[in-house]
Amino acid sequence: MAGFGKFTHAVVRGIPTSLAKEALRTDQLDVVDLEKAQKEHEVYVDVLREKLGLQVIQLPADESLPDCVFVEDAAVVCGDTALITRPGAQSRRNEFACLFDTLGLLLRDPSPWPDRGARLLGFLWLLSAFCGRIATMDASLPLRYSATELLRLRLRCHLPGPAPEALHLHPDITFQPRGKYIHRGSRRISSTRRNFVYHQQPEQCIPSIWTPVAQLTVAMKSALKEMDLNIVEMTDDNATLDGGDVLFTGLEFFVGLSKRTNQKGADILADAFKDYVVSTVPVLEGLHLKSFCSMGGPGLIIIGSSELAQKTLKIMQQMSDHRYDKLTVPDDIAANCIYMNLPDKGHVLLHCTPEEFPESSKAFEKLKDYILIPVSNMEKGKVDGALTCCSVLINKKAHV
Amino acid sequence: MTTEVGSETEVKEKAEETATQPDQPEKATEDNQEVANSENATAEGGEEEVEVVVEEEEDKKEKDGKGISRFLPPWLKKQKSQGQVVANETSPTNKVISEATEEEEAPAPAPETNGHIEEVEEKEEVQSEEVKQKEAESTSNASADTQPATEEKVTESTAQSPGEAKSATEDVKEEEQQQQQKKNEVEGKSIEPAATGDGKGTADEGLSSIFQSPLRLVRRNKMKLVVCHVALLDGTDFPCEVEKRAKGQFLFFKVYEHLNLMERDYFGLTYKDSHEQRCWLDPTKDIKRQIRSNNWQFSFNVKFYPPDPSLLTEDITRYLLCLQLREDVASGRLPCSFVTHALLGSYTLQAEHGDYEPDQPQPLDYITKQSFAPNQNKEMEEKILELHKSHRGMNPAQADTQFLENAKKLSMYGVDLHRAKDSEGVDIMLGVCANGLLVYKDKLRINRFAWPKILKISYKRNNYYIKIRPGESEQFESTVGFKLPNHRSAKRLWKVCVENHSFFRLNSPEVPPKARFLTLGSKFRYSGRTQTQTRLASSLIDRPAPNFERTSSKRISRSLDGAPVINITEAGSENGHEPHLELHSDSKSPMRVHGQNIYVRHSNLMLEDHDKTQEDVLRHQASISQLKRSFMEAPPPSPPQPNQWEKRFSSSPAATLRAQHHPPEQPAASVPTEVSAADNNSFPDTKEPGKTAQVEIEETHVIQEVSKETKPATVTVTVSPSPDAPEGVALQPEVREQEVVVVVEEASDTATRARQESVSSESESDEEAEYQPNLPSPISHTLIPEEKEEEVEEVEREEQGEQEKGVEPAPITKETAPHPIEASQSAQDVERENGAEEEKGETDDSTEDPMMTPDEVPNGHALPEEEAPGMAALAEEEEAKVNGESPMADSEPRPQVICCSEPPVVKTEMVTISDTFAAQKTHITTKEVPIVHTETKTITYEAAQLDNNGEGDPGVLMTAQTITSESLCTTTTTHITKTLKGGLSETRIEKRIVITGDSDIDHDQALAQAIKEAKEQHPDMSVTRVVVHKETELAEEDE
Repeated sequence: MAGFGKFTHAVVRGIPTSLAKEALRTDQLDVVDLEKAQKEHEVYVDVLREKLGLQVIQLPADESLPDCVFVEDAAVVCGDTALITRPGAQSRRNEFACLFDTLGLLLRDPSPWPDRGARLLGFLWLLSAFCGRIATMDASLPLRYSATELLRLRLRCHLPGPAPEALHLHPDITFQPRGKYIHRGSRRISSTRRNFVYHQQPEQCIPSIWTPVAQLTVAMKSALKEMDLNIVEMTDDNATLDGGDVLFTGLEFFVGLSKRTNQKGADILADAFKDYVVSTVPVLEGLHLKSFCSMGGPGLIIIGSSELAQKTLKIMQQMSDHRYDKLTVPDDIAANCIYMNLPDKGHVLLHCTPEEFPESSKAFEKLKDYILIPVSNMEKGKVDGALTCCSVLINKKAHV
Repeated sequence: MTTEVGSETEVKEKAEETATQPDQPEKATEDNQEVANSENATAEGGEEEVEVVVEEEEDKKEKDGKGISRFLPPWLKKQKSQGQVVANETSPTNKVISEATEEEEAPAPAPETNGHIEEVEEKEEVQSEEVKQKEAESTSNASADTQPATEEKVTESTAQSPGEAKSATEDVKEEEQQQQQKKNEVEGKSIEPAATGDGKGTADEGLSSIFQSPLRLVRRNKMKLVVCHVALLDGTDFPCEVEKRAKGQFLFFKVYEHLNLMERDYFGLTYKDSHEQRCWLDPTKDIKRQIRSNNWQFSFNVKFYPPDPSLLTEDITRYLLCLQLREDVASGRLPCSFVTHALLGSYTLQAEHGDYEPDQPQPLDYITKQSFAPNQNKEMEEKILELHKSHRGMNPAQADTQFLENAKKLSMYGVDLHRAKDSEGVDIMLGVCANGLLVYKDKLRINRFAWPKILKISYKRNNYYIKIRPGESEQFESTVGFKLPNHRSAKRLWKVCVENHSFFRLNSPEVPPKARFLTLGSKFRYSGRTQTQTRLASSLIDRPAPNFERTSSKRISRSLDGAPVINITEAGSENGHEPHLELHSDSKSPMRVHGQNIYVRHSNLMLEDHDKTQEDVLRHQASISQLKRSFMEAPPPSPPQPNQWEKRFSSSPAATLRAQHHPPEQPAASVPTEVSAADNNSFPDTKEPGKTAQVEIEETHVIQEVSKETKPATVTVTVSPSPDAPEGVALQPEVREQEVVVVVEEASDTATRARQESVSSESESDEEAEYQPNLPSPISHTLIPEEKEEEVEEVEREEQGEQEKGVEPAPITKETAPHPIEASQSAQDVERENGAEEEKGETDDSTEDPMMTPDEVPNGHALPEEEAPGMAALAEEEEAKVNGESPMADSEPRPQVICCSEPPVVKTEMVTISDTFAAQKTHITTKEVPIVHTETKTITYEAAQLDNNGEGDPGVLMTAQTITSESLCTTTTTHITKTLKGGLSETRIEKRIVITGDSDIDHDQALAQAIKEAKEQHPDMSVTRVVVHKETELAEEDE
């Protein structure tokens, strides 16, 4: 595929201070040095922006979202279409954070309301919450805003001028045609002519009513929408999909069925990208499919040497109508690289540093005619963040 | 044989055929007699039967050749044959042979006649003959049940001939040899007629130009005319008058003429059957019999979507393909994204309307009339228009090309979807395409079976099965079953698979007759040209580009639901190997058992390629052949050996089972015997040093077959040189080859195949290390019980089914045999059921490479080695192995070296065989034969035996892979056996690791590495047995 690896934009997000303590991780051994992590990330963004000349869109970090730096999971972008995912990290969800989630939970997971009566009560409460708009909030439900706040939000947004950037990117706010915007949490529509002073000072910002998971994607969605991509959202509550499980080879998709991604999610992805074959690959261990593999060029898969990785590669090869070369690196996580094919630079590969994986980084030297850029990912790696996790790459054509 | 003599004409025909090769028949007859005699002398009923069976099977296979002649008007054939017969009648020797062959051959034509009733009418002249033939058929069918008896009779009668009284051992050997020769001869004979006499007519008419000589199909003017309506791709209706009895190709021809289409093979006609299902019209069959109704409505559709449309020669072909694809896209069969919809739509506009005209009134108008997508909306139309503007200056042909370039990338391009359920009842879709079989769940591809990975396709009732070759990522040779809504859909899917496989996967430009031969063998085979052939043919098209009108106006009103689904993927033909699939369908009518075509296909399957790279294979071959050469140079002095094991075998329950089966269906149990027969062929080699060279060749070929993707047929050819039935036979090319292959396959069926693979790997190795964690039961009998009950619809299928049946019983019998477990020092435990032969060869011939024999055996070529030492003990051992192979693998906790023998003499190989059979241990023969160049060493490490109640479950060949590094080549063959013992399931894995390398290899290290890897791969299992065969070239002295 000729255009494979061509990117013009990258979406990244800052590292919240909560990353060190609250981020989900598979092993708790190493302490994350927040400063180092932030430094790393800066370098990472710098490489994208300065060295590679991509337009980088940086979303602000959200303290309530320790994992928000890993934007890859929130969206899959291919061509002009962006699929906003439903990340499957259950623990990222704040189950009672919003009405919608509550409702969904009520319907599919009755455990909080053990008996019928309670469930009925729950329904009634929800109904009243919706219908009355200003519901009397039960303290037991951890809604993070008050009715008054919503009211204030609604009334105080009538300021002239374009919405400030912070507001722009606030996860709860989406802009509608004709000068309307929606505060996702409150569902109030107001005019953009008035500014949302309220959101200009982060300390004053209302805590989002959305679950962190939703927040993760909402910010991404608004950013992508800005770029005029076709946005496809996963609406199925049973579907989960992490972008880290999606490997796009240029010719087809492989979706790893992991703990974070299920068949339904993959199916929605297949529906969103109808032009491509979408094959599913079981990922029995590890976090994501891309935790041990990534694309190293057109038709080149970089793969870890673990048995799991090799097995998965074989499955992929079997499932594919195309032939792929492989580059095996000793360390699984080192197989996660970022490949780009930039007009003025040719093949570019961001990969691990020799300090992290001395052997693996050597393996990349086999790639001739590549610009190899080692990027440290030491700290983020401790919280299961790989190189690809920290950005969403977009190829925005000038035309069309 | 005597019983069947009743049909004289048939006999005569055969005689004719045989007559064509004057030298051979005589020899053959002699051989036959001798064989028969010898058989009688040995007087082991089982043996004889087995042998006979083998022959018959072969014959049937040969008959396949005749299958080609189907397209010949039957009367033509028969007349010819008669004339010849007369000439030949006088020669008695020929008769004998002919009789033998007759039985099977005679029936072959008959089924065809049955199939086409109409033909019979026309062939009044021949009727009498036909009747006779039919009778013959019936007799043969009848005899099928009772055959053992008849066969015995025959043998007895022949036994009277003088030369019979030979010493038992020698006789046996000779018998075998002779038999094989006989086989070869027979094959040769039977093949010849097809190739030569019949072949002319058939080749011309049936194969090469199915569509070109449609007029011929019209027989006589008596027939009533019917008006067919063919819906063309542009939406028009093409009425055409066709005789009621015309074959499909007549209509095809008419349509192609109308369309002025030269590249026809990608297209087909569909009709709706009584269940409103779209079916493809078979050009080789009568239209009326296919549509089964008076609704003569057809539609013209793309049948095989070329993976790369740019390779099409003519624009008109591309145009038609475009029309089909537009329909597919618009109807939603070919899903694509919004952008792609818009792009395709814009190319459509460009092709049909030319450049965008800004001043055109209401430009959106013609767009809205046209349907581009299932959910077409304003936005899309605007986008289409926008894109259309950008195509300014493109001519229609270019636009079509662009359209195709984009369409071919779509994920479902050329995929013919069929609803099905998997084994767990989950709804899935099966997609047939140029590359293989795809499994979809919802919109996700959840599995893919490329053609090279599929060993066999079959269906039974509403079940559809594919047998998968074990690949690197899989460990088992497995059969995957799917449930289809009903029997018809299963059959339809099966047919589609057969056709797609044939079209995209078989390309035999270098050996066109063969491919044709295969494809034409049965009615259910793809009868047209393969993609390769059609490309070749289209490259020869020399005509000015035809004018045709592009228009979509007609299409607008057309209903889109009618188009049949399609099957093509891009990669398809590129692989270029000709894999031959086993195509199994169930057969309903037991009466029609004669389709021999099936056999041929089986053989092809067996020989199917491994996915190895050519280089690997070549390298292997080179090294192997060298090895072999060195081996061969030393003449094996071993005396002939009685085939006692055969006898035993025959007496075993398996044999009885076998007897019950029709001769054609050779039970797997009989495999060993067959093998032996094959061995006999090669027999002479042992005695005659000069022939050894041939053996070598054989082996290499075999290897090629097994490990490479080379065509099985070619391989076999070289292999089959039968000592007695000399060059004449050998000369007969492809047909014969196929047959030979077939023989092998028939014998052991899939089991053989698996074995072959393993064997081949073995032969290749200088050093062999066996790792048997748990006893791997030897052969993979992939033949699955499913097929036992087969309802036959088609003759050919029946045959297949029978074969399968035959195979099945064998494993069972083996299982039943008690297997004592004795981990005695057996050098080679390797044996799988089929592997018995291997053992034989190894044990017997110390001189020759044990490994080599197995290879040959599977291919049906006997190696000299096998027969060399005549040891009764061997036979016993072999038997034991056959029955109790699995037991042998028993595990002892700690590995101990059981035997390590190196004969003092020059370089000899020691073979020790441990038998687990019925608590008998046989040790055996170690012959020390001076080997000039090679040394073979066998070391067995065995763990304590567990009790294996060796139900010799058929092992499953899991993997066979070869890894090549600079200095070393490792071939691993894995067999897995699962045994159920009292509720506990035990899995035994037998791995054969062949390490081939230069002299400087550290063998020990390599072995250690291999064992280590094996342990790593199966951490939960224990290594119970390690057998090491070491072959070293002495020159290097690195032992």
